[in-house]
Amino acid sequence: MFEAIQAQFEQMVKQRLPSARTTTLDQRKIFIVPSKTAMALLVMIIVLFLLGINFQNSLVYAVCFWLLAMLVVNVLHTWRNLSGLSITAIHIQPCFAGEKAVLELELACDPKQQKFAIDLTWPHEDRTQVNLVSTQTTRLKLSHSTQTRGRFTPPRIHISTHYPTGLAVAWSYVSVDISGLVYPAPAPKNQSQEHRHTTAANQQQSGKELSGGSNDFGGIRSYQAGDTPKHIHWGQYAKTGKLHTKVFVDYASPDLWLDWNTLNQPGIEARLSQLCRQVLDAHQAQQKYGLKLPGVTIAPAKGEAHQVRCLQALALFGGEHV
Amino acid sequence: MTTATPQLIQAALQQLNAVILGKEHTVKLALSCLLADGHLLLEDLPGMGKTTLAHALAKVCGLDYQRVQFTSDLLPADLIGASIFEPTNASFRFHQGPLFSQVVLADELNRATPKAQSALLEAMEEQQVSVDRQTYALPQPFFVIATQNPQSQSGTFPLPESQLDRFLLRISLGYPDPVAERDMLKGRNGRSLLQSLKPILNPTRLQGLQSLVPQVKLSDALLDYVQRLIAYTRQSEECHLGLSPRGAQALVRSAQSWALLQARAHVLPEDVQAVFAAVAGHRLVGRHETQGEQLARHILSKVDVIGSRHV
Amino acid sequence: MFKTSTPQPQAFITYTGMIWLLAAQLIVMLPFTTSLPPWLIVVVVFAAGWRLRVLAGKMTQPSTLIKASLLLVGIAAVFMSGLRLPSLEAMSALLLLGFAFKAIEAVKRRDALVVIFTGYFLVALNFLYSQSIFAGVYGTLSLIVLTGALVGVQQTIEEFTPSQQVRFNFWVAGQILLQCLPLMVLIFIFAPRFQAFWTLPMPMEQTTRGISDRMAPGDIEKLSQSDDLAFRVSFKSERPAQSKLYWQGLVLNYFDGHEWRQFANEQAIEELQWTIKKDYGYEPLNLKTQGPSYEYEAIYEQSGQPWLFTLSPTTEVQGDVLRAADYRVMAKQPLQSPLLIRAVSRPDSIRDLTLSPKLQDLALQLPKQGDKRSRELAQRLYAEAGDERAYIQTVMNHFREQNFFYTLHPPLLGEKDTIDGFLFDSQRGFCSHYAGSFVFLMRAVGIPARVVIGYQGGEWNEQGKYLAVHQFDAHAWAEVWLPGQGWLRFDPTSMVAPERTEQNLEAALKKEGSFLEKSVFSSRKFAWLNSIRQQLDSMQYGWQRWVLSYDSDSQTALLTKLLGELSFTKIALVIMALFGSLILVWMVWLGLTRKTHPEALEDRLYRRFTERLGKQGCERRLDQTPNDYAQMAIQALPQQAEQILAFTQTYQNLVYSCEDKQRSSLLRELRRLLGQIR
Repeated sequence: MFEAIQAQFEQMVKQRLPSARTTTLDQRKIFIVPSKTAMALLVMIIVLFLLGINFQNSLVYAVCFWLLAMLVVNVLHTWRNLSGLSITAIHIQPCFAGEKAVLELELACDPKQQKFAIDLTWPHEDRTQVNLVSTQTTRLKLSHSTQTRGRFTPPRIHISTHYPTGLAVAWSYVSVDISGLVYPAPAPKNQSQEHRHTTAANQQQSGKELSGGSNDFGGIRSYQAGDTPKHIHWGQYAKTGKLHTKVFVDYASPDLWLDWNTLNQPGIEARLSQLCRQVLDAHQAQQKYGLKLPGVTIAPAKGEAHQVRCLQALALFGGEHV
Repeated sequence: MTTATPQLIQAALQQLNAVILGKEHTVKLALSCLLADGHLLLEDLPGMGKTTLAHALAKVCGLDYQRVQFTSDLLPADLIGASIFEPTNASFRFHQGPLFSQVVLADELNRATPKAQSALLEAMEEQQVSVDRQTYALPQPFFVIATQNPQSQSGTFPLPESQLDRFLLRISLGYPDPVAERDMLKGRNGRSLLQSLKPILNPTRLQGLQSLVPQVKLSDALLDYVQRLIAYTRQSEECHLGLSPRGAQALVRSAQSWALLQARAHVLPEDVQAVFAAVAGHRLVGRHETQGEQLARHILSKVDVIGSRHV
Repeated sequence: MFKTSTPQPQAFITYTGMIWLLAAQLIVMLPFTTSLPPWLIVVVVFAAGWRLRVLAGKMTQPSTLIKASLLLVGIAAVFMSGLRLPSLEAMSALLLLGFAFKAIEAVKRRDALVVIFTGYFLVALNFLYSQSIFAGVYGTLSLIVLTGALVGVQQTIEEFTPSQQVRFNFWVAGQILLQCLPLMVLIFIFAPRFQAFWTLPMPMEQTTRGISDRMAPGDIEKLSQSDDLAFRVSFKSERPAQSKLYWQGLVLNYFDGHEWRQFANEQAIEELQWTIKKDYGYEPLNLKTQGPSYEYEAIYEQSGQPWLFTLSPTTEVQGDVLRAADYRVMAKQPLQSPLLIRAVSRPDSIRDLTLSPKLQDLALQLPKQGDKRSRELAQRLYAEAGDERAYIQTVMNHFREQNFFYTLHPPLLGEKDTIDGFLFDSQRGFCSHYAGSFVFLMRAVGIPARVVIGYQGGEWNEQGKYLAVHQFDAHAWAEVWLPGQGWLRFDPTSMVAPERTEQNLEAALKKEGSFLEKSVFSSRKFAWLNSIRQQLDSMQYGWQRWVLSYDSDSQTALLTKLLGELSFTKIALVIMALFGSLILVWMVWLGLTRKTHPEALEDRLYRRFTERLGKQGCERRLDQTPNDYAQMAIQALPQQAEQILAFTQTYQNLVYSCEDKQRSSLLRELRRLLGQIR
């Protein structure tokens, strides 16, 4: 019986609260119920009413009715505090499996309004309270734990307020139409370090000098006809009276391939974790690296964007295409 | 705005269009960049007339002009200049580099090493250079036109996003339309026409025009539109990086300058739309395939021009 | 279903929240100092100080043992102060004690709520002690502060400075309570009023005020020194002449030679009620109504006594009252709060054509001995007069012709032979002397007579259209029973000082100058203050009449007057309609009827413009600027080109380039141009 009601309620919530990038809370989307505090006050109001009857005292009646009216009017205030609030999902910070995915939200309201003490909650996960007092928009972050790699679709957010007196609770659910990436959890460091020594380290040693570069100072040699005057070491000339030329070199390192097939661990997830660790390490070492997965090949490159592409490929491996 | 201002601008545009054929919009953008006191980034294939445009701009505005070819072995000193030992009086003397010029064309900027690039970008930002603890002010007005090859070939050093932000606008000339190209083939050579250009402006007049740009009226409704655009770039799923506050300022300033070119004392949404791709193209980083100007145009199509949240 | 709402974290009270709470506590407790032991306030201040020091980190939270012992000491002290259970005072004192000590303990929001709700209760409780306008205003203030505290402990807004926070809490609390006011009035008017279910202990009234149930020489003089209000009357019909306004309170039958009392034996109120019900109940058949009838409403101040004052005899009385054979009206309980009754009186009616033996015995009682000279005088005058009527006239004339003097300062007459002392020696007296000796002279020759005390006259308030009767209007007169005529009223005082009944006491004492001489600063001394005083008094009367005395009778009367004949459906409909419109008013007030994201007017007009053209197949794309759209529209609808262009021009001008002062005229123009577009 209770489950049936619950199911019906869920259905109603879904109908009323479709998932969207930006949700503006209006009358239809806000639910409002008196709080426990209100129940306590109601009991006190009844006691006051009895007191009023027994002493036939009009002013006691007045206090009693005033408080009763407050219970009613307060509902409107609480409701107003939530009504017109719009919630926009901005972005989900990608994370590694097992870490917290952080959803960034923007709350906005009408320029004429102010919003106070609005609670945003993921039950058992995270809660935060915000005000919209001096600005019409504010950003906040809500975190949610993740278990497995892939796409993280955030559950609906419970948004509520007790403002102003705590005698009523207005609440609503917001489903945000946004998803974030959860990268595979990187394998522990020691395991991969070993690996690096065998495959990557050697390659780095063989990084060769490219002469005629312009980046790093390589040394001085005596002037030869045809050397650009820009590279003449004038300081040396001043001291010795002989012309010398400064030589510059660039370094280039060969590309590192992180290959699915060279790994000897069993299991898809374990291999992905391993590759994830390697991507992170290679990025940290500022190396050029490429990634080979069955069906996916990412050409060697370096930089933030490249790392993100690689991690994304790992996160979505076996599912959708990148 | 004096009554002479529109004529002055019209004359300048006319002169420029006589040299750069069939590229009225790009020429206007280039001039508005100059009026907005910003630096220009030209991204084009070789042979599209980048140099001609830069030279023509300098000439029409009556500014002196220097061209620097950026190569991988260019050193900062080659740009800024260096203290050179003079054996006659056994002392060092500072020889000004090509940077000490009112219009600097930095050709193929992405061929130079990051070190040389930053020397130029620093000078652009600070409007002065420091050598041997001595500070030298750059001439005023100071206008850098940098060109860049669009394809990243090997041996290039693409400018990072943070440095691209220093350029107010990024434009590309692109291929000329058939009519203009036919004219060109008939022998109307831009380079030779350069000689016939008359200086319409001079540095003082140019600075006068530059001072008018901030006075172009920005209504609340227009700023609302600008803010909607910016908010879209920040919130949209398509953008990895939205427009920075500096980018937003650049957008407003360029739109004001564009409005001035139209001889209007207030900014219309058209002005914002006209400059948006040039302002946002190199500042936005898309999440998907759509990048640069294409992304900027896509954003324009998604944001309502009308509407304000003020009551 | 609602389990989804997460439980609130047990938030702790902040320092500012605590200060709010303590301020609210102090304000709530202050009025109790007048009716309860003053040391309680010391306890509160002590508790508040302790709490603040704990919050400031200078002291630690008291242990449970300390708290328990403090509470025990407090309870002991309450009983040591002489308060006894079950009494309202003891209850209030214990509640206050708990209220004060709760502050020491208050750490979490829930504790704060307990304190605040107790505060609400105490505000109501205080109205059992005082119901004046001032108390009402003070109570309202307390409610605002308490509600402000409720808002303050619920949330702290970090963006606000402390002073902003205080102002904000006040503002929110004030706004909410103001918005509650209409609903409160609505409920107040319509909520059913029940009879008390059981009797609760009443507040102890330390002093009784006004006329008491006995009269010794000098009693009424003391009363006449006071300008306290006794009761107010508003007449539904015509108002009787000033000299006819004899407000009968109670009848004194028994004389012990010094003092007049109701009965020979002293009777407590319950006993007296019993006696009246059993032996002297009101008998409507004894009354032969005649003459003009007066309908009026009277509101009696709380006197701590059950006596009510009406124009005798009353033919109808509404209210919780008792009527007796001597035509008095009295309340069933001592008045601890103002009481309203409605009555109809016919003063010229004939009372008791036949006198019951019981009443006759009472009306002829005299002490066995004493006052010899007076008895002799009575015999002599009666013999001279011949019959009863002539005798009464002779006695009345005696007061006028002899050298009697009306004074607030009569000489003391001692314990014995007081009637002799007055009639023959001092000849100076107040109404009690004249009434007492007159009845004595009647009874001495066997004519049934009795003393009546009450009030005479009153002050007419022109603003409020009501009569205010004060303590200094207290008066004593006599009633004499004559066969065939029943009880007749005689006022011997009027023989000596006719101004007393025709005007008022002040006029009667003009020569002596003793009116209210003890209250130097009485506002009555200053003529120019009179109108202000009357206005204030009129306000208080309204307060009493419409607020304090609003009971089920008033309710029925008011609703009948407003709605005509009452029926359940009618009342239900009216309540629903009123409540509905109230909700509407609130919604408008709170801005809930507004659209959530309203656009500027010009933008709305522009949207209408595009809608109209859109219907003709010219849809606007989002990114089209007004100019672009106009171009497109002109191409599609060349016949309207002019209007489209004009509208677009004006819109652009308004939105992007105009100065603020041009706005309104351009807006009007825009509206006009929109009208031209089909």
